[in-house]
Parts: sequence; C-alpha cells; structure tokens
Amino acid sequence: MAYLRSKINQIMKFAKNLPVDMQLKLPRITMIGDIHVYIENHHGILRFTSNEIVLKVTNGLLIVKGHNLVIKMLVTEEILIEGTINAVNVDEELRNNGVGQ
Amino acid sequence: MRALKPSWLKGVITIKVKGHYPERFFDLCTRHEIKGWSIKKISNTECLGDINLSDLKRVRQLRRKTRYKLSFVSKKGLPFLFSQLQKMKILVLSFWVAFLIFIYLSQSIWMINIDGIPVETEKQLRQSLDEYGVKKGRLKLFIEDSSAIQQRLLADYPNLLWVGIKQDGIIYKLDVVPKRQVDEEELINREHLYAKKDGVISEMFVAKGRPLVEINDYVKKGQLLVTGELNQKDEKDEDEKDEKDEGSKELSTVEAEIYATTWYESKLNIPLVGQYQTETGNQSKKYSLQIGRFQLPFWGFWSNDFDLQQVETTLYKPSIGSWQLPIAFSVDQHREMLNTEVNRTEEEAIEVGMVQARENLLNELGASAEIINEKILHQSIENGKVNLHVYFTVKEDIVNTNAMNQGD
Repeated sequence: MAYLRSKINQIMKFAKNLPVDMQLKLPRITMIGDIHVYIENHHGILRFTSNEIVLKVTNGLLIVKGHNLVIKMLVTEEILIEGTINAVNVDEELRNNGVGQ
Repeated sequence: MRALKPSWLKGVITIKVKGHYPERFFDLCTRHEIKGWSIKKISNTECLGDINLSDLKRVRQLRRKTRYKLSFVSKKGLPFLFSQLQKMKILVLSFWVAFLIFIYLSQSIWMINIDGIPVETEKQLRQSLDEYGVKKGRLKLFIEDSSAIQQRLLADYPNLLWVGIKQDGIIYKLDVVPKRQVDEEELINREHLYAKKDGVISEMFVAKGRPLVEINDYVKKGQLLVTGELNQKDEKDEDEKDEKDEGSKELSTVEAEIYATTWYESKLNIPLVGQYQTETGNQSKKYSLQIGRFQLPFWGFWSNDFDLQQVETTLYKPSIGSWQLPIAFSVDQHREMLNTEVNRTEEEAIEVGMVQARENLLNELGASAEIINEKILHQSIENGKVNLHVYFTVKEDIVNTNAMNQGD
C-alpha cells in the first residue's frame, strides 16, 4: 500500500499540470477580504483563541491574527476561519525549507 | 469546499469542551474524520462547537482517552424534532385527527339543492338520490360520476326532461327540467289529418272526425284523410255537435289512426370478411396521483399494458371552496381488446345485411311500424362485398303527426 502511494506521489510530482500545492503538500490559503480565511492542507490546530489561530502546516506553522475569530468549519486538512482578520503569518521555518527546495 | 453547515436532517449537537487547550480536542476529532463547525472559544479553558449527531458516539469514545470534560449545550435538527414530537403524541394525534376531519368535512356533500320541480317530486328525487348513494356526509370520492347519476335519474323518472348536476364544494346542485305535457292540447287543436306518405290504406280507426278515404284506397303524400268539417253529411252532424267548439266554424277536433301499406327500397353493402373488436375480459386498474403536470403512479403500475387495449380514465380533483387543489387522483382502467375476423358465406352475409336493414328501417319509422314483406330484387358479389337491393313492404301509421309539415 505504502509502495503504491509513493509511486502515485511520484507520478503526481511529474504531472506538470497539477498546481504547486498539490505537488508539494503545501497549504493553500484563500482569503475573502478580511472576513474569511480558507486553508487547505493543514496538519492540525496548535492554538486557538478569539484573537489568534496557530496551525501546523508542512514544515512549519501558520499564524492567523484577528478579532472574534470563529472556526466556521473544521474538516480533516481543511479549515475555514471567520472573523476580522488582521494578519496571516507564515513561520520562518516554512519559508526556508518549504518553497526553497 | 466541503459542507459549510452541519446537516440539519441528520441532527446537530452543540458541545462544550472543558480543559486545557480545548481546541485540541476538536483537532483530535478531525484526525478521526469527525467534522466540526462554528467552533468558538468562550474562555481559556472552554470551547463551543457543533458536531453531527451521527458522530456523537465516536466523540464520546475519543473523550474517554482524554482528560477533557464534555457537555451538551443544545440540540437541533430533525431527529430531535421527532423525539420531541413523540413526547407530544396526543397533540400530534389530535392534529392528525383535526386534519382528517377537515378533509372529510371539505370533501363531502352537506347540502343537496334541487331546483325546478314541485316539492313532492323533490322529495321522491331526494329519496332516490339517497339510494344512489348521494347522501349528506358522504365523501365525494365515493359518489358516482354525475353523468351516471343523471342517467339513472332520467331512467327512473320518465317525466323529467333533463337533469343537470353540479358539484359546488359541499353543495350538490340539481337543476331539473320536467317534461311539459302539452301533447293533448296539440291533439285538440288538430282539425284535419293528412297523409304522411304514399301508400295503400289497410286499416282505419277514426275516433273523431269524418273520414274521406276508405280501406284499400291509394293515397298520396299530403292528401286529406280525415276532416273535422262534419256538416257536409247531415246524419253525422248531430252526434258530434256537443264536442264541437262553438267559435270554430263547424270544425271539430279529429282523432284517428290510419295504417297504410308503404314500400321502401334499400341498397346494402355487406363485406364477406367482418371485423370486430371484442373485450377479452382482462383488465387492470392503474392508480396515480397527478401533481401539476407530473404523474406519480402509486398502485397497479406494475401490470403490463395489453397489446390492444381501451383506456378509460377517471379523474378526481379535490377542491377546497373554489380553490382547486393542484393534486388530482386518477384511475386508469385498461381493458384488453381483441380483433376478431369473421369469414361469412354469401348466405350469412345476406342474413346479416337483412337484419341490419330491418333494424335501420324500423328505427327510422318508429315502434308502430311493422314489416309485412321483404324481397331481394338484386344481389351480386363484388370486391369481397355482397351488394343487395331489397324491397320492403311495411305497414305503418301514415297520419301526419307533425303540425308544421301539414300541407294545406
């Protein structure tokens, strides 16, 4: 099973038409104004308060800051955050090891 | 994007998680493929969130492995509505009963109005309507078609000319037109009798009036047969003077039946191969509900259609007041038909043709006519058909009963 999966992943990497986030398992972040943030490919919540949400992503952290934050929807690897969003920070670790490859 | 809201149909539970980093419990849930919605942090140690009712069991199992405390804040959705309704069984039941009563009250007949006839006949009519099943409190669904009832009424009451039936909500309206009996007056007014057709007179019954012809006389169409002028012959004058109208100058009423022998020719074509459609007796009923244009079969739809069939559709459209419900109930009756062919010999074909010709003739002439003699003048076979030329001798009443056609 694991062999098959790695094989499939290999094929996927070479498929040039696929978007980058699919190939590298990086988070895809969609913002709608400052009221919604939609994050795919995250690996779990580390911290959640009404002012800050810290998410684990591939090789690092993702920090969303704002007011009255509510998790509108929480599904495996997907999260929709609602509220007034001030900032979306990507942790240093991610920048060095994630995209730089 | 996935579902943005939990499924109301499956049921939604709002749970409150207590403990350090309560959001991590929801995170744990998502790892086990349990979805969460509207997750809010109330305080440092408390977190609110919605989950589906179907996931509740697994959430509890997960909680046992952790130190979080779980409490349920609110329940929403259809399953809870059901359980709530079960608690209010009596209320729900009474609603149903009320609904059924409402349907019954609005779908049955509560008034039978009969217009156009005197009270005594009306009473009789009501009684027979009762027998037909048109009663107060009877559901309209179980009442026969209004045209069927109309026909039954007309058959049972020969003195009725026409019955119009209208169902107006809970009112069953009958408009009745009785036959006006004016025949006698017409008879009284007649003063001369004329021949309707050419013929030889075979029988005469003159009740009133003076006959101008005798038995075995040949009369032509329009010829005067019996007259009301009595005073031409003196001896008859005295007897019937009493019945005479004083004002009408020496004209009395005339009553007579005069039978004459008349002749008819008819030409017939009878095919040697006859085709009939007969019912085999096999039939199936299909019930369906019509909602707007959409037809939803709910009973009998499994039975196959026959190869050759006759379909009779009865529609029942319920209405509340003047408002026609968009739902209709229809019953399709499928009757199997069979094409049968009959090969006839020449004699049989002639026989069939003669029977038909006799019937046609008697239908035309009325019940009092009688066929005395018939003769085939000519017969030939052409293109699979028998051509007949038949000559009938008929005894019939030739008194012209139609006042308008009386030629003066």
